[in-house]
Amino acid sequence: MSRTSQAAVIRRKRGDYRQKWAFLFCLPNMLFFLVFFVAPAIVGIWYSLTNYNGLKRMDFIGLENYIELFKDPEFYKILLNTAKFVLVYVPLGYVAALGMAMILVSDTMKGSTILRILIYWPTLLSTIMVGLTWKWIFGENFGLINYLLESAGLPRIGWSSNAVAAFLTTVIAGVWAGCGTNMLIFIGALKQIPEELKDAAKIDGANAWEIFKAITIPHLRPVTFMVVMLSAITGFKEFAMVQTLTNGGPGTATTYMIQYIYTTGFTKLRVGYASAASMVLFVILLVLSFLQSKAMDSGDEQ
Amino acid sequence: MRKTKKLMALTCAALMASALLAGCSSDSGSAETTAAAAGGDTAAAAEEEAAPSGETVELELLISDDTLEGGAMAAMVEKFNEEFKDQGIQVKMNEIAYADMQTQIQNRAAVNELPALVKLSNFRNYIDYVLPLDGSSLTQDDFSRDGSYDGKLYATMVNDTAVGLIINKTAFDNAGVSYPTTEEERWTWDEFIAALNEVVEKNDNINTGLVIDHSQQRIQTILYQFGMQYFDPADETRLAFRSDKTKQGIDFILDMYKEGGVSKASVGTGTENAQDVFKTGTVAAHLAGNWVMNDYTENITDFEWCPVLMPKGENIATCLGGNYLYAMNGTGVEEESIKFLEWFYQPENYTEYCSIGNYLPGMKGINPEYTVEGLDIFNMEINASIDQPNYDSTITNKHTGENWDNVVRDAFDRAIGGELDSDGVMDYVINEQLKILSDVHE
Repeated sequence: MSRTSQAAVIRRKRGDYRQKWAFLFCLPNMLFFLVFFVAPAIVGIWYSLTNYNGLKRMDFIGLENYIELFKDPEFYKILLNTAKFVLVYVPLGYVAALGMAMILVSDTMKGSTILRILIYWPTLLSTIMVGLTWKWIFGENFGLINYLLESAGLPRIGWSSNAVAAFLTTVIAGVWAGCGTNMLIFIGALKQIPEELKDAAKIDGANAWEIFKAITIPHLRPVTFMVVMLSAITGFKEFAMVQTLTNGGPGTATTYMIQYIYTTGFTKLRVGYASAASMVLFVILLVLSFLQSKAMDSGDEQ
Repeated sequence: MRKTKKLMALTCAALMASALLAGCSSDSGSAETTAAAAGGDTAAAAEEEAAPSGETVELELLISDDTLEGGAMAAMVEKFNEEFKDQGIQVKMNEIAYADMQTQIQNRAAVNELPALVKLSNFRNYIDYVLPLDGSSLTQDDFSRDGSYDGKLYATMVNDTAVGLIINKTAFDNAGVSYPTTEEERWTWDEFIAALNEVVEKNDNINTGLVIDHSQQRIQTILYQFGMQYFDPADETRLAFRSDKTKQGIDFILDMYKEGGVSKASVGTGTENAQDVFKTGTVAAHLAGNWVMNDYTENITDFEWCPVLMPKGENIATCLGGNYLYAMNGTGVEEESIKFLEWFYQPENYTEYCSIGNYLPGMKGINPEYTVEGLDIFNMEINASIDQPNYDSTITNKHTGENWDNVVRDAFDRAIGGELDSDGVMDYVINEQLKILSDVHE
């Protein structure tokens, strides 16, 4: 064996040795992932092929659940509800988080640390608490807003009986609860934009809006994509907050995917059918996650 | 760059480790608590059986709403524990939200950690896990409602419930509107709506005429009064929900939720709780179950209220319901569970239970002393009611494990939300029934 090939072998061996270590470090996470994500997902796929009722009945029925699901107008309605929620929630959440981040990084802002904590604070609350809190604000009979409206001689708003109003309450509560995290991400990204660029632009006579459009927005592109995707995934998974705030009503106007899956599985005892619905959601989320990780990769390459 | 990577790797490792630790700790934590809570845990029970005498067997009783209804079961459990402390049986109550009962039983059945005893309005969904009581001294004949399956007693009727009407007496008296307490005085539905409107008009603080619980039992009570049937009395396999009478009833109810109607959509769809809204004193009447009276007695102080007779349509009708108390099978503590049930239904103990909770007894020959006035109105409703509700529930009982409990309520949620009209409600209900129930046709 020549010297060079010997060296290559040693290198390879050393490489292997390092890989083992790397693998060992990854092992806990892999186990965690296998036990808590992969295994339940496989069980879910199996359930979706049966008529499981959550108790003892579990017969294999092939793709029947999926066939029924794709013919079920209610399923499409819920899917559309969820998509509508995501389409409104994500941009609003984005604007709110970015707006607050920009205010908080500006030099003229006083007490930004306290504000940052206050804005982040709802993220730490349980989603049930968020739902209950907003229920006191948007309650139709008890609520603060209706009380204020009435005191001002204005008509009450049917927050829980009017479909549009109920939809808005879920969006507002969702944005409030979720924008803290995104705001922190934006603050980090905003601080990384080199000041020289802005200074140069100012010297060239650019106004604030032009600086925002030509410098801030392009620099935020990778972060923007991540925030949008993560918010979309969160939006698709919204459940406990809506359950406590509107209970999916009026009718099914604010029933989103997870609540639909929950009631089908646990209230109507159709776990098999609910599993089929959750597989569809799984595919949607998978596509979103895939897009997001692709974008992250391309962001890294830049 | 390298620094950043190192930092990221370190952060990831730290996060992983903390996640794992959190996972482990919460896992072992929850295992401990479940084992402690679930006296009926098989492994624990096996140990307990093998242990020398003197070890205490703990029976977990899964229950909801006991505190809200006056804590009658808690009092009985305390009494039992006192009497049985030397005999090595102790009962521990696990009180959870009513809405979580089904999920909890379902999930615990999946991991074989069922509680020893359950008090719930339904046992047929879980019939595969319920302990038949043929080895006990209790028989079906002792109870007012059917708790049997396949000829064996499985579940004991712990309390009957009936639907009835409770009014804000202060508001009615203020408005000078009379209310019926005898059969001759019963309102028709139109008279009742007129009375409600008058009460709302003449009282500044009353802004809602009627609130109805977000419940299938309450809705169907009104529908029965209008002449609705679920199953054809002449053919139990024929679904009879679709009819002109049903349609009339549905339209009548939906009118109450329209703009300017006597009720509120937010309550009708369950976003706001009827019981809570009635307690604010801004409502003239509440179509409720008799069990709310305990809560009202304790918690309403700023106005007077009383139960009155419900209006009549084509029929006089109320729906009976109730809760069953039953033991679970395969818990390893079946014998002890039966002992508790036998003790609980001794007339002296059971009378005490019904008296504390102001319950309509589910066992025959029991005469509780009620502290709440007006429960006799509910008994009047039960005696005057047509038989169709009982007939329908008997047929439903035959479809064990096929749960269509909330189909009508769900349809009304959609209708009140403007998604369905009365024909849509009938379509929805019939379609769901056809989907869920076996061997039925329209």
